[in-house]
Formats: sequence, structure tokens, C-alpha cells
Amino acid sequence: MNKLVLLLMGRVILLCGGLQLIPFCYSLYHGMWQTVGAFAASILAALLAGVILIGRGQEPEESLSVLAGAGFLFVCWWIMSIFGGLPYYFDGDLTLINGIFDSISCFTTTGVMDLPYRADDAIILWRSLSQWLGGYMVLLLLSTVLPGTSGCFGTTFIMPGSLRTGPITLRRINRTSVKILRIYTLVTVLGFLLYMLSGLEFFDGVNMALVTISTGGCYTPAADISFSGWVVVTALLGIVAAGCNVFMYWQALDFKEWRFVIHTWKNSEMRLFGLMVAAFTGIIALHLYLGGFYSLSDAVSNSLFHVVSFGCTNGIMAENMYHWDDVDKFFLMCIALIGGCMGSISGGFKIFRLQVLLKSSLAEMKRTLHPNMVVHIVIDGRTVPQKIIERILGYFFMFFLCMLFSLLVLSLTGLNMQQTMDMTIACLTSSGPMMMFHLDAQEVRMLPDWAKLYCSLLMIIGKINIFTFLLLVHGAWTGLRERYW
Amino acid sequence: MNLKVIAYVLSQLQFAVTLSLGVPFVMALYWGEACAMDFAGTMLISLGVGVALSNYGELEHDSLTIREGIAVTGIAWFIIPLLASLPFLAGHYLNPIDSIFEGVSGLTCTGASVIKDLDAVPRSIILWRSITHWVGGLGIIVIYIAMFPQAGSGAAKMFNAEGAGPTEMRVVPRMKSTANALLLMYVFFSVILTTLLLLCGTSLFDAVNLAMSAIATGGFATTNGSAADFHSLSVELVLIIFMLIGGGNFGLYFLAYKKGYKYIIRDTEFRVYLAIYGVITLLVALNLYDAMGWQPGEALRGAAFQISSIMTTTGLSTYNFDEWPAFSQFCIILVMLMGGCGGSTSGGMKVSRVIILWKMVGTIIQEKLHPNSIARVTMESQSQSSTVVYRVARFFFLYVMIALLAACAFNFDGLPVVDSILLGLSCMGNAGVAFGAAYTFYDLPDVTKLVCCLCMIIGRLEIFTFLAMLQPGFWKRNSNW
Repeated sequence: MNKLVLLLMGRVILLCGGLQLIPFCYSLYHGMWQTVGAFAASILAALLAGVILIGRGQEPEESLSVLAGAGFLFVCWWIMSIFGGLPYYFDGDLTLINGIFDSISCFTTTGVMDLPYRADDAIILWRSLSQWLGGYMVLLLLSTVLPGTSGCFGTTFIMPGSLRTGPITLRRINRTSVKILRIYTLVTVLGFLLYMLSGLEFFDGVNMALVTISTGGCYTPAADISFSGWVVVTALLGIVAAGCNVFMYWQALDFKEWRFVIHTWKNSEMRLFGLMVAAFTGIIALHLYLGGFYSLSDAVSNSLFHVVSFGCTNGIMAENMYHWDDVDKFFLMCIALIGGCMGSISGGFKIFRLQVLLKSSLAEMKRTLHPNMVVHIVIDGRTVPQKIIERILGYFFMFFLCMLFSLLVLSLTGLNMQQTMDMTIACLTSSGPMMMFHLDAQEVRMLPDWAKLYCSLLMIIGKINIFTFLLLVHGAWTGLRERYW
Repeated sequence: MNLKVIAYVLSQLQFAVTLSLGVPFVMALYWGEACAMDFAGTMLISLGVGVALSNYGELEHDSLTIREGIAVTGIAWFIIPLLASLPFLAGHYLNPIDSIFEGVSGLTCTGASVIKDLDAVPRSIILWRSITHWVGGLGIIVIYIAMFPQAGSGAAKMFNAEGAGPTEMRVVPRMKSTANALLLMYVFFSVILTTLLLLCGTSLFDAVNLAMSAIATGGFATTNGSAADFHSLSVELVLIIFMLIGGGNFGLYFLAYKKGYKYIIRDTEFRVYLAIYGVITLLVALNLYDAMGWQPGEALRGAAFQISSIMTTTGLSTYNFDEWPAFSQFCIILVMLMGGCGGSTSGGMKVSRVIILWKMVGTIIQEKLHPNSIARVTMESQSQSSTVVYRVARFFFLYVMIALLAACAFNFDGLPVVDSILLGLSCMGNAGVAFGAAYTFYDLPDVTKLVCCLCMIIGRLEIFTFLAMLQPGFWKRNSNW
């Protein structure tokens, strides 16, 4: 096996184990002895596995190949989630499969509410931390391994030149990880301070900052903490910051110039996002108002918050919106399917890709009348290369196919069509709360183990990109065919 | 664009429609039904429109431009369904919106019916519904090109605008000969199916109507219970085979007729089509056996009929599949989305497009792993141009998007989420089946019905023709392209 992959996996496990020290210390401080034991056992297991893997990965290869990169992307999430799920299992709250399912839902920033919410604070803190770590991993992989494996679907187009070219070397990963950690921590601390200023308690503030910036959104299911107006505004800012193209901040930090952040407002992807948010908010608010759910101002503020929250695939809720009408949930589902901006932590299909597809379809309409016409697609003054357009078209088919196949598989659990659809889209777009649109936590917990594992796979596919998974399947298939049995 | 040429061609089409209205008129007279006068009135209106268009129109040149070709086909697919709906309206069997829905559903071969009780409707009206299927099945334009002498070199533009697959397939070099070949096969299979149904013990009326409905992959039946009312295994088997034939490429059948059956067996699209049908039928049968506790034979029979009916976008039914488990329903949606082969009478995406998209993903993987290689999509050992491949991909994107937009409208009109999405896909694919609240179409709200009609026409015209007509400048007279 590729030694660089082993080394990187060892580091990921150590990082996961290291972060568990925080809830470990917290539970120790508060004298929650059962949780202390659970975290201690989990940290030891992580330490052992991490050290072994790093030991096996000494003198690694220079760089990752496409297939090794895809393999790392895929295995990394599983390994991280398994070690991250051990505390739930050792704590005795969940079975192993439930623990892994819950852990994967946190690490992939999906945020399915499976855990009983009156679990002790240390476990809840670990859930928030694992979402935060998941968000960090998304950014790290996005700027290191992902461009080499599946960056051809538009990711490389929006990246700074220094990131999209060259091999994936250990040195590059080291350098990038530190820089991203700086930006990510800075934004999180800023979020925490704003939450504190808005009047939240310390514990709530920390958790909310962690789940907002990571687009995990899974802290409390029934909006138990008091959401004052300022908390909502802070949450909105955090969600939008996480749903934006992070490379803008990157460049601002790199060049010490704020013009890159200012460019965000001129970015057409952001404008389209704003337009979509306005349109969806308008439709939902109108429906909620006409349906007698809220007064006009409440309808607008509630729909705006939830449209932004689901649009950035965060899923955090300012109000228990499960009682809303199916029409409103359908629109939230649509915007979650579209997802946030390219280069962000959020999931979904991504707005840039939709933008390219729409422009490309308009061009095709022209070509129906003028078959020999050469039409260029220009986004923010840059011509999108034909290759990228073609690949995004292919990606749309893959995305749709993956969804259709998953619907078929998950329908075998005995759920009805609506529930199956909710679950599939929730997993694929990392918007966990959507799973609860027509299900409750108990029903999710009662799902067969294979369904939970399949959902976990789907959440990971949602993060690593379906193409990376297909690359792996293709690689495995070719490997099997070419092997001399 | 020359409006006179368009008017002239449309007038010819109008005369053809008048001619086809003559059949139920004569039969209504023969059966002594009062609705004969409704047909007579409709014929007069149709004739009047035809004469008016003919007086205005003039065939100034033999060849049509691309715009004129698209305009003729597009306008024809909006005007003719309106005329086709007049007999339903004149006899007060349906209200105006329902009549339009029935007319559009008939001509686009969707087969979604809003007539509550077929027993209360005269037989000539039922016959007219089936005729609309048969005329719309192969395509109004194809039949026009085959039957009228003045089609000229502009025929190709109209033929392409009507669309029946990702690539233009000509079994013989000339467009008129191609249309003749397709029509020949179409008539041949219709006659054979009618004969076989008669041999299976159905009445002549049922045999003729079912034959027209099945071979055109429409879905209108002669009784309220659709194909289930016959309670006959032989009828179901014959229908399965001929629905599958209807979902195959008619050009391919002509080639096989001329050059031997090996052409059919070697055709990738046809093989994939049959393979998908076989696999999905087995899966659904297993699911029905497992989840519903059906007997194996019954499960296989039900699955075989329903999947063939929906895969070919016919829509005849023997069971209430709305009560089937979610897995079977998703299988139904999968085949409904896929549809039959290119060059067939069926709707949906078409199997050839799905194959092209699948191979396109393969080329992307190939190019990623071997960056210097040039990977091409091939069909029948022929490399497909990237223009065709990516047009197919864009078609897929627009297909899904339009279905979703329609679903939004249905949703707002009061339908549940899943039912709306499936209704959108069903109308775009001209399948004529739906689930849940939309299972019986006559209960749908009026706005939903109108949106359904629009989707059916967009689906039948395969999107681009319709969208091209929406472009600013398309209708300008002073541009020559």
C-alpha cells in the first residue's frame, strides 16, 4: 500500500484522537466518570492505531497518484469516523453501527439527529467538535487532494493558480493544512465572540460557533436555546461565511489584500446565490404567510433563515420547522440540492456548476438554430474551457444516477417514497435535518444496519464527490481484471 | 422566416387532420351515434382553418430553412391537439381544459385520460382517442412527409425538429423514403397486432383500439379497467410483445426487413433495452413476491406487463401499481425516465441517450487516469461527435430541470411533493402514469392539467425545438436563417 497514504491516515487518526482530549478534559473537570472512561479508551485506541500507521508510513513516496488520492479520500473519512464514533460506543449510548453512523454524519457535516439529546455535555461537545474537524478536513482535502482527483468539475477553475497545479506532495499538504487551520480557527473564534456578544451562554456559544462554521448544523434539534434576533444574525453570517468560496479568504490572507474579499460581492456565483435565496425566501414566506403559519415579518425572517441554512447545507434551525407544509420543505430540499458555492464546506451540486449548465443550455438553444455556431461561456470575465463544461455535464448525470440508485437501494428498507427521497437527498447533500422531514429520530435509529452503512457511504460520497468514488470502483474493477488468478 | 411557406405546410397538415377525423365520423354514422354531428362540425372547423391557411400560404420555395422547419413542427404540435380536442368538447363529455388535456395526451401518446367513465362515452369518441394516438405515435410530421408529395428538401428540418432520439437515423438516403419505410413498418405491426388480438378473443373494436394504442405506445384503453378487464394471459402476452416492439427503433425493423434479422440482434441499443427490461422485470417480480406475498407466477406476470407498459411509456395497466412497495415504484420511475429506443414511438429519455451518457462518464474516467489519451464515445463501432454527446447531456439536464419546474407548479397547486415530481417526469416522458393523488388524472386541478399539457408537448418535441421557438428574434421575418 502507498506509504504516503498510510502516513496521512495515521496523522488523521492522531488528529481525531488529539481533539478528543478536549471533551475528555471537560468530562474530567465536571466529574462525568463514565464519559471520561469512554474518551480515554477511544484516545488510546486512536493513539495506538495512529502510531502504527505512521510507523508503517515512514520514507513515503514523493506524491499521491490519482488513484491513491482517490483511495485516501475515501478511506480517510471512514477511518476518521470510526475512531470518532468510538466514544459513543464506549459510552454505552449507541451500538457500534449507530455510533459510526452518527460519527460519519458529524464528520461529513451532515448532522443527522440520531443521538438522544440529553446525552451528557461532553458527548455533545464532541459532536460539535467532530463537525468542526469534518469541516476542516473538507477544506484541507479540497485544497490538496481533491483537485488532483476530481477537480475537473469546476473546482480547479475557481481556485488560485498555486493550488490547482502540481503534484500532491507531503510538503504541500503540511503547508496548506497550517494555513487553512489558521483561517478556519480565526473564523470560528470570531463566530464564538459574536455569539457571546449576542447573549449566548459559553457552552452554547462554543457549540454554535463550531456547528455553524462547519456547516454541520447539528447541535440541538428543537431550537432549545433562545434564539434572539442577534443570535440569528450571527448564525446567518456564519452560515454564509461557510457557504462561500473559501479561496477568496485564502487569497486575502495570502496577499494581505482585502480586495479579494470585496471581490466576493462582485462574484457572479455569489450573486446567483443571493438571487436564489431571495427567490426561495419570497416563495416560502408567501406560502407561510398565506397558509396562516406566521405574520408577514415572521414568515420572511423564518423563511430567510432556513433558506440560507439549507442552501449552505447547514440545516441549523432557528425554529422547529418540521410542522411547515410539504411545499415549503420541497423548496428547502431544492435549494439544498443546489448547495453552496464552489470551494466551500457545504455540500450539494454547487451553484457554479448550475450556472455553467444553465449558460451552456442557453448556448445550445442558439446552436439549435445555428448548428455551426461556436458559443463561449464567460463567467466573471473568464471563458470557461470547453473541457470543464463537458465534464460538469457528465457530473450532473453521475449525481442524478447516484441519487436514483440510492433511492432504489434505500427503498428496500420499507420506507415510503417520500421518506426514501428525504433520506437520500439529506445524505447526498450533507443536510442531515432534512432526513427528519417525514421521519423521527426513533425511526432513523430503527433502520436496518445495512441501510445506515449505505447512508454513511452516501454521506461520504457527498463529500468526496461521486466521481472520486467511480474512479475507485473503476480502479478496483481494472485491478481485478488484470490480476492473474 | 417566410410565414407564407409555414402557413402552406400547416394547411396541408390541417387537411390531413380533417381526413383522419373522417374515420370516427363515418363510424359514428354507421353506429348511429349522435356524436356524428360533433365530428362533422369539427371537420368543418378543421377544413375551414386549413382553407384559410392555404389561401394565405404559398409554397414559394421547395426547401425550408431551419427556423421554418422548427416553426412548422412547433406550431403543428400546438394547433392540432387543440383541434383534436374539439369532439370531446362539442359532445359535452369534457370541459374545455379537460378536452385540451385529452387531445394533447392523445396526440403526444401520453395516454393520461381525464374521462371518468368510458362506458358513458360513445364508441366513436373512444375510437377517435385511439386514432389520435396512432397519428401522434410515429409523429404527425413523419406521416405527413410519407403521405404528401410536396414535402421537398425542407422535410428533413421538420423531421429533425420533431425529434425521436439523439441522432438522425435515415434507413434510406432520402427523407421521404425514410418516412415511407417507418410508416410501412408502423402499419404492418398495427395490422399484425390487431389480428393477434382478434385471435386472442377480443372484439374487433377492442382489437383495433388496443392495437393503435399499444403500437403507438399511447395508453388509452377501451374500458375503465384498462388491460386488466380482459383477464386474459394471451392478450397480455401479445400486448407485452407489441408494446416492446413499439418501444424499439422502427428504422431498425425496416433494415432487418430488408437485410436480415441480424441487424436487430447486433444493435447495442436494442440489446440494452431488452436487457434493462428483463432485469427490472425480475427485480420488481421479486419485490412483489417478497413484500406483497404474491405468487411467483402472478408477480412475474404483473411485473412483466407493467414494466413493458411503462418502459415503452404506453401506460396500460393490469394492476394498481400505486399500492406496490416503494422499491417497485422507484423501478417504474427508473424505466419511465429511460423510455424506449431512439426512432421509436415511445417517450422518455431514450435508451440510446442513456448509453451515450453512461459512456461519456467512462471517457471522463479514462481521461482522468490517462491524461494524454483521447477517449471517444462510440455507438455501433462509430465514434460519436462531441457535439452529439454533449447535446445529449444538455438534453438530460433540461429534461430534469423542466420536470422539476413543473413539479414546483404542481406542488403549489396542491399536490404532494413526490406525486408532483413523478407527475412532472411522467408528462415529460409522455408515460401517462402517476402516483398517489395524481393517480387518476381527472381529479387534478385545472392549472396542473394545463402545465401537464405543456410538459407533454415539450417532451414530445424533445425540448430544443420548443426552447428554440422561445428565443428572441426567432419569429422575426427579416432574417434568412
